[in-house]
Amino acid sequence: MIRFILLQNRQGKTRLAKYYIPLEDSEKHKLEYEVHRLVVNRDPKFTNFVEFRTHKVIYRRYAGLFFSMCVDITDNELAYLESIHLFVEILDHFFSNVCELDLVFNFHKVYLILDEFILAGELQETSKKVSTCKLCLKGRSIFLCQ
Amino acid sequence: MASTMMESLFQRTMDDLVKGLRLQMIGESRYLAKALEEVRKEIKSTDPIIKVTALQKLTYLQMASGADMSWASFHIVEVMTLTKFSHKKVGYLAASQSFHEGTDVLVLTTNLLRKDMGSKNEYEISMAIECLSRILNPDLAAALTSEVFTLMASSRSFIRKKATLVLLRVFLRYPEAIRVAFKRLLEKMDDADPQVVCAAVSVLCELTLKDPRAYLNLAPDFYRLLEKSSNNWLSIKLVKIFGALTQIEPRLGRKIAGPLCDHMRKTNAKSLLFECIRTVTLGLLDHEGAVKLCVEKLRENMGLGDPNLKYLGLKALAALMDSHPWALTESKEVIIKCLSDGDIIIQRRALVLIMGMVSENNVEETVQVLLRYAQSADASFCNELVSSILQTCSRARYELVSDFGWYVSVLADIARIPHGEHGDEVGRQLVDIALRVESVRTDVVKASRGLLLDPALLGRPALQGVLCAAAWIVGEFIERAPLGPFEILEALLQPRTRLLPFSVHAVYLQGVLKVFVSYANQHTSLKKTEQESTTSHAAMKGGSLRAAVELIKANVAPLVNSVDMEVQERACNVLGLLQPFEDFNDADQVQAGFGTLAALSEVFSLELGPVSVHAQGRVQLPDGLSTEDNLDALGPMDSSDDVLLHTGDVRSSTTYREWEAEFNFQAPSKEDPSGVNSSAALLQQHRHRHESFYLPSDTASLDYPPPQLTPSAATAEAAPQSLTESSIFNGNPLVRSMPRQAKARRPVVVALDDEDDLPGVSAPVSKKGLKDELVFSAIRKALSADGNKDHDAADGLEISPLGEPSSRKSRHSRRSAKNKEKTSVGVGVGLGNEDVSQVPEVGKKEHRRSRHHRPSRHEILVVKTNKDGSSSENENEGTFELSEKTHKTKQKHRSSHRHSQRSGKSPVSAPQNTDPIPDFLL
Repeated sequence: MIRFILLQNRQGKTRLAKYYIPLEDSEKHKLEYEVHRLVVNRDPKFTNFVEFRTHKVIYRRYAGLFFSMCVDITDNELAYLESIHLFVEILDHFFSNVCELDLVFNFHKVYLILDEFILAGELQETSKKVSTCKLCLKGRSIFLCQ
Repeated sequence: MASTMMESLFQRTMDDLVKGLRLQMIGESRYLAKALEEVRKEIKSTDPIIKVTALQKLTYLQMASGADMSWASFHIVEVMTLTKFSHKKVGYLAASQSFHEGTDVLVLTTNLLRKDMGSKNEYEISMAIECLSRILNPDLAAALTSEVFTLMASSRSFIRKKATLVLLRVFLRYPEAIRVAFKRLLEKMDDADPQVVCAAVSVLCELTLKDPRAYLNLAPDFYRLLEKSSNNWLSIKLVKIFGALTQIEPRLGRKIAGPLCDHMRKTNAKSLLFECIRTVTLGLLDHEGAVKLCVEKLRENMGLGDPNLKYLGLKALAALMDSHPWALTESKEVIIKCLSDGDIIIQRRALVLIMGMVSENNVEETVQVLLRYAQSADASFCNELVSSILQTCSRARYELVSDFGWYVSVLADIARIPHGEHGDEVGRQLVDIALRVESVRTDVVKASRGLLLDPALLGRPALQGVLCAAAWIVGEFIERAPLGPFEILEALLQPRTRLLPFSVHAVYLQGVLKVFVSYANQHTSLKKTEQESTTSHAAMKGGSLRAAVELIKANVAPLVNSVDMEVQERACNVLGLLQPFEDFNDADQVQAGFGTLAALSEVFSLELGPVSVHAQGRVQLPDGLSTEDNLDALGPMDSSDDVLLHTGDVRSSTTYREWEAEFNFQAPSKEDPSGVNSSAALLQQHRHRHESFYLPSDTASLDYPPPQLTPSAATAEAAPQSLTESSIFNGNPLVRSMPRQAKARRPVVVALDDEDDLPGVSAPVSKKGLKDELVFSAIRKALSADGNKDHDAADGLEISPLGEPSSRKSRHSRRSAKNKEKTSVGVGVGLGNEDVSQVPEVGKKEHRRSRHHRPSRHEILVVKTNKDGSSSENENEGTFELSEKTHKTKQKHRSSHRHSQRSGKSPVSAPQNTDPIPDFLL
């Protein structure tokens, strides 16, 4: 199960944070700080999996943005790594060539997309390619509803 | 009206806020405070647009800079109730970001969520579900289970999927929901939409991982899905479920080995491949074919150079390490290469594996390789390398080491590694080896001498432990020093010893004393033999003794004023002994001095040996000794050492004290034993760990030999067992459990009799909460109801959650009446009707017991039948046939069951459901 997902830039600014377990605010900030410290200095040649407390963080870096996912220790690392990539592809598709600023100014939309992607700590979109279009259509229609 | 228009005209929009925040280079906190202030004002506005924008800004501030938004919970609910979707959505986002189980306004959201979950707009439903998954508490779950249940049957797969996923949260918060909705969850495994199937399996996977026992029945369904699954994610989840199930039902392994191997061969997805490998390492270790395929695939993938695959490969190999060591040896090259990977995570994994591969034959080679890496690695990894070398080699009384001369030189090398931090452990092992392995003492002394002579080592605080040990070793075994005592004296007295802490310095001084005694003794014996020979030679000898005295005096005298009591006292002792040699012309004085020294050397020449930690337990309780019942005061003396030095008699008790302070005793625990509870717990813990220290009630259980004693002490104490058994002292060590006694090359390691059975690690205690138990028992019940559905005329489960088939109900009430006589089950657990309140208790007992010896569920049933002699509770048994194996194990288990039966507990409920597994397996 996914415990939380974080988008942080290199300076450690949180661009998106979604927690699927109840946590105190102070605890959240501590986590964000620790996860950032954990991943920021890792070489691109290193593994994308870091053990973190009793869980593990699967992270992936896109330009200056780190997408980190904290999952249970028994979860499948590679599958979640792929899902991070899928999520980024969806964002890219939605914002057409996504950059950090898109995410900053449209944070609420990113949340909506994320909610379509993960629910209650479980992935909803599990197929690899087709889903991109499907989900984006759904995403767009959410915003058309306004 | 006009005012709100003005407000909305001049309100800062979301974009403004973000832009403004980005512009702030230094005064960010002031800007934030100002923005928050604005939000506080705006959020009270009656204009929905202003309110919504304010809330959105607040949500952003909370996410980006950790602003508190708990104060706004009521406003959030207000926004959530707005009718316009674009407004509502902001409210829902804020709620799912900031609400938690304990938020007080959750009560207000119940109806709102219910309404939105019944909405026509599927996005509203989806938002409501998402929010529900974040804020669910038992009350909400109880109120909204029926909505979720209805949504699971929605015609839109989009909604069905979400409702299914949120079910996990509902179950965990509100186990009663399982009875209502579990069956529908199972139906979702056959849903037309693959996404829904995937969602259902995800939920079941999470549940299975929590407690696999309840889901064995579903194995055929999972198997069917696995066979036809084409979705990687679904397959991963199913394979994961089987990983959990095969651990409790090994027969399943045979069944799924085939499909797993197929998947491994065919799939292109590494994720699925590694999931299969993981499942094999968890539950299919007996299936040679599957394991071989795994190893093959692992080697293939680790060679690809992708760090992720390398990491996962190492992890999988680690899981195979214990059962299939050959798997590791085959990939040894790759593993060793990983040591220089650069990524500490991979290096660590590789190190664990390499240490797992070490055997008697390759230990020297491996350690050399590791030491070479340690020289070049960075400080932290270097220390990890060193500590694993130390740990592995000292394991089980150095069973891996056959050439102790080599190992001692390795220890000396380790001590010299520039940023080593394991001085204490190296020192401990040096002393340990010196004491236990007699044949290697000369080497140990040689190594110690080398360490003491090196002035550079004195300045390194991490090495104090080594130096302390070295000083003690040369003092104790000075007669083995290769180049005589004088250079050792010089080493022990070199000026840089001032850098040492007092505790170590005191050991140095004691060493000086011993070395000098030995030196003077040699001198006198030489003198006696050479009395008649040339006087010049004797004069030369006397001269060097004089030099030694001068050396000691010059260096020890300043220490008489040391601020440390121990150092000061020892310095005084040393100087006092040198007193007679003040004037070498005063023959009488000198003679008296030699007399004292000879007596001392007599004392020092007695050998010390290791003593078992259980030694105390073997001392018989003298008559008339009253022991206090309350042993709270012993709490702080708790220590976890395994070998104490036993001095044999009083004379060198200072050394002993010194030694134990240095190595063996942990700092007294700082816990305050004043509180009754904590002290009781401490005592319990202590008793648990040091059971054998406690005087047992029946002495008959003391079947181990007495501690190592000097002959005189032994006779004095009238120990029951004779010395023949504990013959360490006679140089005939106890090597009872040494596997390789026959090996001639390996020197004897003195082992203590019962060293291995240190009061040990107890079986893991179940820490699962009541909630998990509730889930477990509820699912059992749900499944059993599922199995009985043919009997239930109307699908009672769906129509009325509380409706129970009548036959079952009567059975339950009968049992509950029975249970009540023996155990008082709290009916007021808050679960409503009586038979539900039974469930947690029953489930818990079952659980607790199965932790101990894990009978398979069939065995539980068998035992029950035997005991009750009635088949009333086992009406479903007919469907499964016990295999031969189960019949055999039955006999074995009965005896262990007898215990629980005797203890007066009511019979633990056997799983009352049908059990299709055996059919599936056979």
